[in-house]
Amino acid sequence: MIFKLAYLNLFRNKRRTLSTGLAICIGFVGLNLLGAYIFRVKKALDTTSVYSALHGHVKLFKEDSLVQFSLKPKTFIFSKEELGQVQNILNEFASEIDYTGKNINGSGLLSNGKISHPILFYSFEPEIYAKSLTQPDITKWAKDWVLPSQLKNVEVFRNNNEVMSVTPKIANIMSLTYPLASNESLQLAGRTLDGDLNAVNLELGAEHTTGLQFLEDILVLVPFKKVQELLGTEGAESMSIYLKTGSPLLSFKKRLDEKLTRLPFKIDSYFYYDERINSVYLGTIGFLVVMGAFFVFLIGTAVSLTIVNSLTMGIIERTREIGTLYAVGFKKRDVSKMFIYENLLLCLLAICAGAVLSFLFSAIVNSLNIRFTPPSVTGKIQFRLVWNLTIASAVAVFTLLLTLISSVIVMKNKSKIKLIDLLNDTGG
Amino acid sequence: MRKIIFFISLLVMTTATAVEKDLATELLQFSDRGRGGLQEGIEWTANIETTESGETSIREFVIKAKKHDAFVEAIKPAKNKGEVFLFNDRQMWFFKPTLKKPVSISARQKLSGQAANGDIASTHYARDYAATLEKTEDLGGVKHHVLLLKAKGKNLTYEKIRYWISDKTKLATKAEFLTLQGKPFKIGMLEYNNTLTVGGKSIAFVSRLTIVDAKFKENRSIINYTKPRIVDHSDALFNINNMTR
Repeated sequence: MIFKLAYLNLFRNKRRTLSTGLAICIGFVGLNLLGAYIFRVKKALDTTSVYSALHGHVKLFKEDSLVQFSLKPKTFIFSKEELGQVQNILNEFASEIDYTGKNINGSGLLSNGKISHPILFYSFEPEIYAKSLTQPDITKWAKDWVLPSQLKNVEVFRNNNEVMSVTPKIANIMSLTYPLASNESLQLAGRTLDGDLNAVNLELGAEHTTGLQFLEDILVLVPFKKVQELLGTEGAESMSIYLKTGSPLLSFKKRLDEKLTRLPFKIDSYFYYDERINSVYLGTIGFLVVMGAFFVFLIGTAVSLTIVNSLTMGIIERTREIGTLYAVGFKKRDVSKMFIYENLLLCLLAICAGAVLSFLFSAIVNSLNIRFTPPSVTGKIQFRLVWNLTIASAVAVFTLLLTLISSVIVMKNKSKIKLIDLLNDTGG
Repeated sequence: MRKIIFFISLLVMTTATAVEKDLATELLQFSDRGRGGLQEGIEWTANIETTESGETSIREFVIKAKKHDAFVEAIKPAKNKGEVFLFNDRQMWFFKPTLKKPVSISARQKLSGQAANGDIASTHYARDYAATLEKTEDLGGVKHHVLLLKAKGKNLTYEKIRYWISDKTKLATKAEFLTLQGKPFKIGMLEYNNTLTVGGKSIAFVSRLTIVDAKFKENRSIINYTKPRIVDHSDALFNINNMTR
């Protein structure tokens, strides 16, 4: 009965119903699209961190290596034997691990016989690089962060273990010959683990992008074996563990950490999103969360005020009717319920419309292929909105709660008016 | 009258400054001879003993220098044998037999421990640095002229050096390698127990350079100079193109 009355009341002042519904709908669409954008960026960051940056889902270092490796590389590198011991433990998790990779990162000078350019080198193992760059998630979420040529490079790296990859910016700085697959001879100089100056021959055979402007002029990719030759070691600085789809990340790391304590040396393990190994991830997500929270506050306030305003107006206009309802036996709680149901119903309708609108809007924006350059990101990326049912549901619950709370607060205040005052009200 | 006194004072001050500058440059030029800064070709062996973070290592190089060029070849340990550092004027190259092309590197980069690449082959401070006489002071009971050397160009091993030259021998005995802010980050002590015969005259030649980290005194490099001799090197030795495979 109350619910039916609430439903019918929606059609009494159609203009107000429409304006309130529209405000809720726009708020819902705004929050939903913001969520869709943050979701997309997060997925892209997850994918690039795990696969493009070769962090894997979990990365293992020797204890304190993050701070000490550059100072005492000889002490903080995994020796060949230690790598074997770690691998034995990882074999116990074979059902959850897709593959593992080894890494050594460092700094040096890249030279072409004329110019030497200071660089940071990231090592890669050709097979791991190939597996990582051909992951379906890369195509789905981060294709803007992978140059088309990088996918072609997969075979180049497999066929020649002296081929390195530079960014187009480094190629320009060093006046390297285009196409970059020219096999031009380059030399990488750096210090061995003993502290001696050393250099190795490499061939220019590929290009890549780091996705980040501040790394574009310094980061090169060098085959892992070549970095080992440069540093004079058979070991590795870190190990990356790539999990199979659906493997539980948190519980995996917890169980792995327990097993790693069996080793005679201590190991630090990190998630790919850990600030200590991936500050870009946390920085970007942190920025988006702050921005999102600000918009949620703005939109939430606007929606809430609209509901409060609409409800207050409705009560003022319908005071005589409320008085009559009290007079014929309706309880105060029933009348309050009717008004709250009325708003919740309106909110539900607005959410349904908003869900369809946001879905359509996302599809249109995505099909327009709008490209932009985010701050500190190299090149343009597509402005993509990935509509997601979980996010839409969360935003819907938030909007409903906001409506409920706003309505309850208004009704609590207004229901304090005495019956005689309501019946005498002119309704003006 | 006042104007005349003012101009005379100004003239005296300017002349004094110029004389000090000339003296500083002269001292620097002379002291360079004791570190290999000669017009003739010269060759010596440098043994570098480095102690850093409790670990000690030994490297040995043969240095062949002529005017502003130097050819530095590693001879010990065996794994580094054949590695070459070539100084072409102020440009420096690294090469080893397995490399297809030499690598251009900076003279400031560390060669071993506290010793920078430039420490073993930079012989012409008078050419690379502008010298000013700061003061004179006693060092080990001997009067020394203290010079402040400022780099004339980029790519030099150090930006600023405070340099103690003995008034008696006209040879440098101490050097403080300074940061841009003017604080010492390395301290070098020089000894001259070698002799070299140049144009029939015997001159003192550096026998040891001890470089100590200003903050962590236990980190040090000792460069022992042995077998110095005058040799007429071929110009081709210093031609970088001869290194490319």
